Amino acid sequence: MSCTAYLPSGSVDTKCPMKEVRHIILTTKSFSLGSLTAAYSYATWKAAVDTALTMFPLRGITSYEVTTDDPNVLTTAKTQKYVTNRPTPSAMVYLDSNHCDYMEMVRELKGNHYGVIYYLEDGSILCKRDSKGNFKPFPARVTAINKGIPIPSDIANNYPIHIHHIDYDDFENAAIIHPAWDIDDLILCIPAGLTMWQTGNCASGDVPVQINDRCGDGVTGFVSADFDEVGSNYLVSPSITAVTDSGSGAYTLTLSKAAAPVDIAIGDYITFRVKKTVAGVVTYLSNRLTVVGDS
Amino acid sequence: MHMIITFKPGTSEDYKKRWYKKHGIVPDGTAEGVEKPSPKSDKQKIKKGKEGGK
Repeated sequence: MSCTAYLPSGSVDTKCPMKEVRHIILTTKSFSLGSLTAAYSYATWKAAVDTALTMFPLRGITSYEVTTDDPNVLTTAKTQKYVTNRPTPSAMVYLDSNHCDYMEMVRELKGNHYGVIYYLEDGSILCKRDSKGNFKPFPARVTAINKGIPIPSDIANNYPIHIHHIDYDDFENAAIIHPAWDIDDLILCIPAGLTMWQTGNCASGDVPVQINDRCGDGVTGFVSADFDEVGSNYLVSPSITAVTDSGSGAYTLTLSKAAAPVDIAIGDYITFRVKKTVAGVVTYLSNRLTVVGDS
Repeated sequence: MHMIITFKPGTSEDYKKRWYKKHGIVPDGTAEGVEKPSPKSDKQKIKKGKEGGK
């Protein structure tokens, strides 16, 4: 084995320094774009936001801090210095948000693994490129949590998220691409947010719920096909078989199980959300609600 | 009272009948998959209830 120290190779005239981060784009952890062509395609990104729901561009950020630790520097007895680690990148990002959207993030972003893509001030995108040429987000644990009570002298920083990346190596393999589309076009594709909550017991499979525009009024017009079952206690064919729209955002849902539907029983639960699609494009999306059978 | 009832696509007619019976609703069936009780059907419901009691 050779212990030769290699030097970096090549150089290019630098046009300008890297710009600051303007937007954060969250993705599912498995999100991937298979080619540079796909990475430049607005249609590909749009479909990820409003059809596949594998991407969520945050509306905007007010500021951010890079919280990556400084590398450890070991000073020997002979006063020589060595860098002994590669701290994992991290950041605290303050969102341009509102209470209702942020609380939805608090419910969902609980330190699980997501992908993070950085959209910079000059419209370029900082992401990762893997050994197969795929363009990917940087893996990270993302947590939304704030201090609950509004900070009087610091209102702009009420909605922070913590981004803790997994490995410095991901940034060593970073790529910067310059798409022609603008992030604002992508943000317009985000489905309208709804807030859904239970307003009474689930008796004989029937549960009353209220569905409002997020931070707004009740929304009418949702039908059975607009409800998306996302989980249950291992029930066979968990389903919302009937929906009664009583106006002003008040609905009664009939929750059932089994291939030949019967009402869910005590202890059964179904987790679902509103996911209204028009020609495959998701136009409304609510929080997930778990309803347990009471009788 | 505004009330629109929809069933999951593919729901059997037998299930729909059982569901209406359980909830005591008589549908007017104005559109495929949409049952919209009207004031008229409310009267019909009361009448049917009386008939059922005989």
